[in-house]
Amino acid sequence: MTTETVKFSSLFTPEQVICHLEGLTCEQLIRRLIQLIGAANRSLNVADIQQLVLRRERCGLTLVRPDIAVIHVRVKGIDKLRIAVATSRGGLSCTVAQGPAGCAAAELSPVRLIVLMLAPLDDPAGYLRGISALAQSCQRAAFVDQLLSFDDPQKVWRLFDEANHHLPAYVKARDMMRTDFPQLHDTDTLSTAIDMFCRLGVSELPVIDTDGDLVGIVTEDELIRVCLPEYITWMEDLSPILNFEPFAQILRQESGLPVLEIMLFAERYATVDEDSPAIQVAKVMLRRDVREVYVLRDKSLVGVITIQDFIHKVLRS
Amino acid sequence: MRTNEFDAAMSTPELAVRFLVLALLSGSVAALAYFAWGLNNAQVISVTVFLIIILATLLFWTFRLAIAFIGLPVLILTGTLDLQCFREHCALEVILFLIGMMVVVGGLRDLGFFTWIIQGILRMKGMTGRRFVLISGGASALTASAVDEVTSILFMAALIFQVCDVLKVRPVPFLIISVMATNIGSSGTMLGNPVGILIGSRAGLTFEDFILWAFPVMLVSLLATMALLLVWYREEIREVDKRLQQRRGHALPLGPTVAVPYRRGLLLIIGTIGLVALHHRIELLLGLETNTVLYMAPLVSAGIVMIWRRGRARHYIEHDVEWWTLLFFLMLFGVAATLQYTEVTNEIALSLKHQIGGKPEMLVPLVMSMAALGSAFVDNVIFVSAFIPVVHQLVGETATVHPLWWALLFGACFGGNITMIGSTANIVALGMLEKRYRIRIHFFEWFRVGLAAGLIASVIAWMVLSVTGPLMTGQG
Repeated sequence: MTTETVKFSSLFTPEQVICHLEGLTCEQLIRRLIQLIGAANRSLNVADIQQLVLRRERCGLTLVRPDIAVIHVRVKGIDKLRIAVATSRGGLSCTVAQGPAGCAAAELSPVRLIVLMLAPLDDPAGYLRGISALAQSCQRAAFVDQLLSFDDPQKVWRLFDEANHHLPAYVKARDMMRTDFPQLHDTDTLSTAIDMFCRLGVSELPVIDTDGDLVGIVTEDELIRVCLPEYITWMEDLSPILNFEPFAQILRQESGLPVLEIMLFAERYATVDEDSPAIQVAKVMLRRDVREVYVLRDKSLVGVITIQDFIHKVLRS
Repeated sequence: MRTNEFDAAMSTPELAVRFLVLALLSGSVAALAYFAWGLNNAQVISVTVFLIIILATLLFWTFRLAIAFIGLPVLILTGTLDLQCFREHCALEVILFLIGMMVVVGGLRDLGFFTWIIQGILRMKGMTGRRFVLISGGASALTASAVDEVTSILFMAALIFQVCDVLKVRPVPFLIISVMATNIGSSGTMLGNPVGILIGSRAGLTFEDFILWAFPVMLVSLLATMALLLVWYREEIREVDKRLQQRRGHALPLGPTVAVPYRRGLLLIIGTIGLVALHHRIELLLGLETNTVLYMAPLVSAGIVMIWRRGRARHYIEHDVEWWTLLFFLMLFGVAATLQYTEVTNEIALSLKHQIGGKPEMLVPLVMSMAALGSAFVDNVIFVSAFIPVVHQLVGETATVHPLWWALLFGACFGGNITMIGSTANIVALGMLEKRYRIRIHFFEWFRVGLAAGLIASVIAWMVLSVTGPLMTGQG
């Protein structure tokens, strides 16, 4: 696992850049990008990688920005992260699995910059560090506009090189978090929370105040517990509650009850700072016995990392 | 009598350090006992094994039963204790009494009796912070008196958590109040605490004796402690007041309530306590030995529960009876008996008599403070089981109702309030708090208020015993 300083532009050469390939499908473009990496790395089995990447592509791409997509796979036979870059003026329509920084997204605007990343099979953090560096480079809209305006692969590569961005020494929580996630406001009612649980199939929802600060969470378990507190469940004889009598009050008052009524406070959920090493997230999940960790910038909620996200990004993707 | 295993996972180095502490301390005491105090071999072995068991409860909570299992054979195989003496002193009648009560408690829970009590408190009109504290404290004390301290805190903690969750207030102060009331309440009857039934069995005290001499002292001590706690936690109580008012404004209850068929549970508890309360009358009527009916009453009730709820009978025996704790008590009573068998307790009693002069007015505060301080750090059953023979020596064979027995009882129960490890109820409550809220109370957060509460309750008990003591000895 490499942690030395790696310049983003050192991961590819101008030969691995394609400018303005119009009229191709997303799949055709990916084939071309693999061939470019394969041409520079003769030991790679291009056919196998194509199969892997296309299978991955069918699951959808990861968006760094609405118009910048990354496709990444881990492959045998390479010792470090390899990259190929393509630009498109008209934009390509691709299936999108994950939005910016990992949020769920559907079909978005056409993709104008597409980056293929091949990471070593045994490097769990490789592609995440690559995406983090790419996101840093593409933070400025002017950078992307300039990039897309070039017809010459040499210029594209040089722009990345002059930007002088490096792969981060380690993956941070913000590189792994979802930024587009369901949340409740402290002014919402219980009715909204129940609707969201039913509609979205999530097991817990963060609650934020008007400043965007995380003030608590609401969980499915707590919703049930509020209706069926411990002292009622002691009884072996269920005849007094056979028709869900304790739930009646919630039905009567849910539209008037603030969500704060069943909200759990800080001691019942886990948070990390967005700059914390991502491994800290796993540690917090295990030590606090939670399945979701909330990512904060100061007190503001900026993202969520679930245990599934963690496993998916570190051991799969 | 459920216990919480705080230290289930202990690293090997930590285990080694604790073992070293145990070995050093017990070895030092053994050397002192032999060379400085001039005890004979059997006395040194009995003191050392007893000390190891005390230290094991402090340092190896999870291994205390294993150490008791080894300690007892060590005493028997070295000839320090014989089987006959163990059989006589293992207090099987007390163990059976506790088994019966545990089954009855399981039945009461299943029948909704505790749900009914908690719902009754939640439904009360015009609840304020002070009222909540007084009612939850009073209910904790009375439930402890009626069943046992651990059952009381298990159910009262659920009430505290419910109200604190609903009102969004920190549960710690209210849980501490409830635990302290539970510990005080557990001294009110023989049912409240294993030390109560143990003292009763060894001193020949009846349930009526407890109601006459202990219950009123418990009530006065409880009132004084509650007054202290109301002042101590006034800010938190004011916050509860504020939240209750807001809630009343929205006409919101403190929790859902359902129609509980409580009558069967009520009948069971009244029947059990009634039989226990009348045990002495029945014994006199039938010409039975003192406390025979007392020990058998919970067994009869438990048997009825197991026939009535036959589908759950196995559950009551396998899950509601705390075999781990009861086996520990059984071993412990045997080990403590060794101190009497080898006449170590006799030596202690003689030394106390020699230094104090055998005057009750001096011995009562001494026994009470020793019991309180001992129980603050060591399981009160361990301390009381070892101290009973000493008190027996001091009281003499003729007196049954004697202030020293009550001093031992109050010291052991009230001393439990001093530290967070002072009683099983404390440990259970803190375990529940940690499990539910991930809150760990700092030792001194408890100790500051615990010392004040323990001191006030003990001083009041001492004052009352100073007044009632002469009446008892006159009666005895």
